[in-house]
Amino acid sequence: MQIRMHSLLILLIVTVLVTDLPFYCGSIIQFTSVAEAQDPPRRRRRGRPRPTPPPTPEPEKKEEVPEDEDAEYFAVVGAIIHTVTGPVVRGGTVLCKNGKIISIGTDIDVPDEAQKIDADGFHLYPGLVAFRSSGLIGSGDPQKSQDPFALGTVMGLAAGITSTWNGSRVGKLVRGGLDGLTIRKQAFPSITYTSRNPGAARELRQALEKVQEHLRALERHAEEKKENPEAKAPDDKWIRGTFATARNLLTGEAVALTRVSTINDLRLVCNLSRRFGFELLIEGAEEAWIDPGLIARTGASVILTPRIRRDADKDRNQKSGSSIENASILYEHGIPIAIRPRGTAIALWGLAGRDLGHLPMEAAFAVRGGLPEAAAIEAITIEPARILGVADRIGSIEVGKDADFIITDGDLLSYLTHVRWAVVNGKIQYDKMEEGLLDHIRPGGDEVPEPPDDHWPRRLGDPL
Amino acid sequence: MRTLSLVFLFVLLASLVVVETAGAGETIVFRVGKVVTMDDEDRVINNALVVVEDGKIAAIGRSRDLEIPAGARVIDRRELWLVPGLVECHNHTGGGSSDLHDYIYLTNPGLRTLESIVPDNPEMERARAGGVTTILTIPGSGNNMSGFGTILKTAGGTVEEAVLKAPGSLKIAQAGNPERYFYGVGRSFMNFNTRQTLRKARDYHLARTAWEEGKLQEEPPKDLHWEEFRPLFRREIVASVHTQIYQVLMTTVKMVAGEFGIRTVLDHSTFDAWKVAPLIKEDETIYTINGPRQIFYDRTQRRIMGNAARWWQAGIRKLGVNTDAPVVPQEELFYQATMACYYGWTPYEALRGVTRIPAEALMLDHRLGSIKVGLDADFCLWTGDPIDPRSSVEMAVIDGKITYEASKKRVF
Repeated sequence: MQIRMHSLLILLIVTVLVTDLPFYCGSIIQFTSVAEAQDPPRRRRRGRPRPTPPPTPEPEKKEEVPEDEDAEYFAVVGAIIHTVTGPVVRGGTVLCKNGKIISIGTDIDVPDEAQKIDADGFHLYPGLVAFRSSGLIGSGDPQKSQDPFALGTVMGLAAGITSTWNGSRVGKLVRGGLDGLTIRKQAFPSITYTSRNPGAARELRQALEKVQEHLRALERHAEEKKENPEAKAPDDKWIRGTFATARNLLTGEAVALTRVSTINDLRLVCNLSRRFGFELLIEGAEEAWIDPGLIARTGASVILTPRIRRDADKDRNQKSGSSIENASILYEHGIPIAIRPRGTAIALWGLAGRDLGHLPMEAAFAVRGGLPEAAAIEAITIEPARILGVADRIGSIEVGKDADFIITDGDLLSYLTHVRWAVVNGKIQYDKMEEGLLDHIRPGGDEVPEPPDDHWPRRLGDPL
Repeated sequence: MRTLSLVFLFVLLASLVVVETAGAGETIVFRVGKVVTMDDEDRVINNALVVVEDGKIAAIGRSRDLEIPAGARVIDRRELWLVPGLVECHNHTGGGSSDLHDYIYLTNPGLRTLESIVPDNPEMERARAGGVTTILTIPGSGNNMSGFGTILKTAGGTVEEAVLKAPGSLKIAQAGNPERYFYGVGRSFMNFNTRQTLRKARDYHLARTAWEEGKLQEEPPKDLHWEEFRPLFRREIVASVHTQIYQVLMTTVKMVAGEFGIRTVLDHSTFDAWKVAPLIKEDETIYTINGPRQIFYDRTQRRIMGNAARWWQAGIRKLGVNTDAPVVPQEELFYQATMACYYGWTPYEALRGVTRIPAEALMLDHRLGSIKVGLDADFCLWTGDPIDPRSSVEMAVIDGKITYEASKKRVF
């Protein structure tokens, strides 16, 4: 009997050790886990302020409608609404007023004067957000660079993109005018910290060290000033160029953007970020799947191209090269990911499918590698909006957000789906059947439409 | 005791070896959710069995109608689709990514890609992962006639094991790249040069044939420059013609297919080439393999044309797509079909355009391109519609051997 008790005790200890069970559990642990459950762990980023919550929704005041005579109403009725941050609403209505979404649901009174789209059977998604682009919204200041009639803007809208970052600002794809284009100015200091360029890496590291020392001196000065108001502040005239970048990073005013591919370089730059405590945005990250924990610990966000091809380095006795599973592995480790195609413009010269004209297809390749479809859609809507700091205005269908959305004739990730309407600031900016670029392709959803009446075969005298 | 353990070890090793080399002579049964046969009746069979014996397809049918042969190895993947292996008509990576073509003269008759094949190069593994089981690897389009291509399977192995047909096709580049030849040539000279070379080759072929039939007393001298052209004029192999823009396509159809009676595959056939459709419909043996440019922006109409859709709408039924790998990676052959569908083609026809149509174009439909009894067991198991980028290849089977398994290592 005694032996049996003994062996039972050993079994218990072994079980506890092997299964990593806690020796005790208390109410405090319980509370933290509940608090964490409120906020999924993949959203938590060290040192990053929480994104501004969307403005509190205006309560539905039905009597308000006649009061506001100048208000412009816009409504989409009957669509399958993919809110992205919330549930899918089937056969619902999205009502917008003056370019903002004011209500979403199935039982909404639409004012008579509202412009209405009957979208029965169509899908409604938030407008896609292209993390980086060229040729869609001009290159810099909209007043100087944006062509309100650019074909690139139309093509972007036809691809479902309503907002994008052009390197200096996050802007909207709006046609025919220059109003309401810019959401915010946004620049990410670009840093190079790779083994290929040790000179630049040393320069950056030394700048960070020097500025960090300066910031400590400033803190000491603030303390000293309490006792001695005459104390002299440390000189900061030298803080220019790389030093200014370093100061912006160290004070959290800016997020560093870096283009890194290999796991060795990822380790270098992530360690730098953790050592100095600045925030990091990684573009590329082709080999991140090898050590996703590294990126997760750093709290970095990743902008990746699921289909990118980087051949394995056969000379290295370790994992290398790209993986189609990159997006899904990073997602599983709670790393915020945004998807971008290989090309960041819209290519009209023929090689289709690898440019911004097919952003949802690039996301579909992430699904091929195991990413859940909902996460793939997040990676081209709300995630880039968060990374660009504009999630309070775009990226999902929420009350109070901008009325920027696309209405598609099918599942966004399907290869037969076209954008039927693109709406920006509560106005139709693109209508497939009016625009004429793609109207001959499956008009009305017919799989085999009548061939369009082109000039050439008629000239040949040979009807199609 | 020691002898016994040695014997045991030997038996263990032997059994391992047997497992590794199984394939030839073994019967494998694939139990799948759906078979897209691409056969003459366009059958799609749900809950199906495909029986493979000696690298050939031995039986196909619904699982309740077919009996699993005794002793057969059963691969039960009821969640997957079984689709014929994709066939690529225009590839340059059979020798890895180097060794595109030799840039000696504007026409280099007699050169063969067969000499540069590396069957086990990494591009082939990626091809399998994208469902591509057969490729025609041809020389580049830097000169008007850059030599003869080779049709090979992507399973690797030795050249003898991999090669299906050599020469597989003659590569002609009508225009659109040979202009970059070092002294710069235009279409007048290029067409003169191509025609001249083909005439010389035909004269050689006719002279040799006449001698073989006893119509000539004296044997014409054998010339390796022209020898490979003989199956071409016998219509046993095809000409893969790099051709695009409607004017160039008209020349191709008139010269290569018409004047010389060569079986012609129109590779690329992009930009506004679909305007020539009425001309092509006259010759039943011409195959149009469109891509990798899938769109054409027509500035006069301000419309984006899907090239494949326009060919189809114009009544061209012998229509497929290609990648021109490495221009578009070989594993993305299906994605050419995806893009063709986005711009207006239909999914089933597009799937035919990467399986059966290219197999017919290469005159190998008696061995490839569909799931029929007696054909090579070249197929892939997909998680769904192969045209959808969300579906992936879980298993690639070439000549009855499993040559790629995503569960072991996912490549694409």
